[in-house]
Amino acid sequence: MSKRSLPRLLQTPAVIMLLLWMLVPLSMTLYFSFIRYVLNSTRRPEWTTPALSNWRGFGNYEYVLFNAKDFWFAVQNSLFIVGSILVLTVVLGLALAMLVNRSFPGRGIVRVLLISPFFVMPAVNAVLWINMILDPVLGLNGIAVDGLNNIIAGLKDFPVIGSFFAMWPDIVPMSFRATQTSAYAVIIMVTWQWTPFAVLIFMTSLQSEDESQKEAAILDGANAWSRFRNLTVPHLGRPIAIVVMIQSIFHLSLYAEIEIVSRGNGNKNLPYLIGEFSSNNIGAASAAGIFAVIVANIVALFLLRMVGKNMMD
Amino acid sequence: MKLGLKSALALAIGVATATTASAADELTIAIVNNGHMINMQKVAEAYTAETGVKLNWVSLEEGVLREQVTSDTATGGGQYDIINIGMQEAPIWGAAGWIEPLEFGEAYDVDDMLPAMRNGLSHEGTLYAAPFYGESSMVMYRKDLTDAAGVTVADNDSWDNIKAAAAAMHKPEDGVYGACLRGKPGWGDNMAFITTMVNSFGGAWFDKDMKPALDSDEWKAAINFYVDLLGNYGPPGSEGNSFNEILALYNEGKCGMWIDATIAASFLEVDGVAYAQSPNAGNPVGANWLWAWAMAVPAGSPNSKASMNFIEWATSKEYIKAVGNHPDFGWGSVPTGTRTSTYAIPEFQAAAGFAAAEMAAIESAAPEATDLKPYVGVQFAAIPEFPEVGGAVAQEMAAALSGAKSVDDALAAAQKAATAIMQEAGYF
Repeated sequence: MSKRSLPRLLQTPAVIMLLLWMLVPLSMTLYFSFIRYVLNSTRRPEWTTPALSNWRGFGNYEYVLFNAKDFWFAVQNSLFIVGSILVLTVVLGLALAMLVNRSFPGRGIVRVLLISPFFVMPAVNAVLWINMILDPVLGLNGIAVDGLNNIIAGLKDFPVIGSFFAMWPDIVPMSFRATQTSAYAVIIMVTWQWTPFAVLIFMTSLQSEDESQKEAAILDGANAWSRFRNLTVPHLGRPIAIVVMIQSIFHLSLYAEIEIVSRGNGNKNLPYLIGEFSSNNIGAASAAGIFAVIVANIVALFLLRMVGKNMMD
Repeated sequence: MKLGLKSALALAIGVATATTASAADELTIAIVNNGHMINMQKVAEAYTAETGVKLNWVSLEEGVLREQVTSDTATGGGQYDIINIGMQEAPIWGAAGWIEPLEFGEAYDVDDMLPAMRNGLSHEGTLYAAPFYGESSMVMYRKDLTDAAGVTVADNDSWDNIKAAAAAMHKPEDGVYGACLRGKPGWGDNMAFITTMVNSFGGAWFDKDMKPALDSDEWKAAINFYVDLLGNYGPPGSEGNSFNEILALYNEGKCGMWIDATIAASFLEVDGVAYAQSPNAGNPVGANWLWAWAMAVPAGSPNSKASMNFIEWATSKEYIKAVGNHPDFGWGSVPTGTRTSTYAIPEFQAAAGFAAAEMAAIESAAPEATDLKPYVGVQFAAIPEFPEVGGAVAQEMAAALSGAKSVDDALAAAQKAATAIMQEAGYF
């Protein structure tokens, strides 16, 4: 046995396990994506069992790309949702981490409270936000707008300023389940949930920042912004890359929030589209799944480059 | 066929282990998480005590249940001995041989079952699923508000009258909206209501060649009316409202009228509610829906005998009495809409003010195929592709309601999507 073969041998079970874990589902998906496979069909019963005789070539792909509803919309929307959440969580996370990095009385409690949204389950998060906060009648959104309208109605009776407020129209509360707005609702609730994650990572990283460097910068007359821009942000390059990467992995597969907010009305991503096909048409669902793998890989490629670059610096 | 082989294998194993199985009987039941089924878990403790059969309940939300049970049954997974399925699936699955035909003893009195229910759960005259709870739809309106506004709502009223009544009750500044209707996308959500409306305008999902007919004048007229009615006299955010959301609004006193499942009547907590049969625009056939949750046995289940015995008990007259006399429940919460005899029980009549209206609605619902439509089902089509078609159309209707698309654009997109799905499924 050569020097190399023993470690390889010891690695084998893990590698085989990983391969099986990945290859079996992927190759089944590939296979299903090239055949006709529907769970139930009264017209064509032969399609209900997966078999090579149902070979369809690229037919499923063609159907998903050109005939079925919403494929391109789902791709765009996936990227829009993930991109918006990433920008918001990184900016908010940085700001909050900077804030709680100073010492002040009760810092421990504040930090625990800051992190707690991360422990709420995604489905619960969505149900709470959409029904209790964003609902235009019974939620905070509706109650606040109603209150505002009442205040304005009250002001209209005042002698001088009344004529000014008389021109104000009644404000109609915004519905977050409508086609145009449901993506915003998802972005808001996921940002709320994942900002703590960014804060947590940034906070630990800020603690390792070199204080003597900062002091030197102060002595050199650098103001707070340029200290943040030239010392803190470069220091946080790697944690930012990690936050972006981990969050992209999670948010490309968002499902619960979309289902609960709008059932795919004007707001769906690739996983949701796959879910819609999989109610009956497994072939098309598999083809959409392969597209999702491709999109995820493109995103991963960019991210790995970014992280790689940061690691080199 | 692979399926057949699998079920034959399962049957063989079942026969081989029959002796042990009957000794230590245990049934796994997949149920929908609505009130009646949750109650059943408690009432059935008596069944376990009497027969020694242990019952394992898997309680799932409607959509999740449908997905789980479909994939489990389609692939012959055999996780469950008894499954809850709806009226949309029962005839299709019976035809596909996924579920076993049901045969019950004399005492079960199968003729007592409401005819509409029995027809809707059968395929070619054979019953495949036994209903434990059924419903239709009707108008539930606030008599105090209509009286105050000086309007009336009649049985089988015209849609124009309904709109006039909604307009008269609509006072958003006081937090009261004229009409609360379903808008949340989903074939069992907004499309259930919208389809009954389209039916009442004389429209249908598919023409006689099973080509989608969503671009017809009837659909256009109905959807324009729907968007106008709910957009002008409904609560904001209606595109997110289905049964549970509207129930919450109604019980907060925010709705003048509500057209929805008859079962809603048993959850209403506001005073002065009156009922009327569903409105129509000239065609009363299909103006109110028909739905049932039913219990079925997957084909090839090793415990099919014990499963059928349980179903026979759970959908019997005795079960209804057991719920009515149960200390935790009482006659107000017996499962309705399944048996004629239930409506004749005086205790039930006393406890349920909506009983007469509900029975009239169920009896007038007509699921069978007619000249207008080649498919079975009132607010759905009993074909395997319907959930996909209905889901796609539902999203377009929600888009039209929220104003993101014009009604014509939404219907054109819906027609395109539906045609693609039907073509993909090999209909034409």
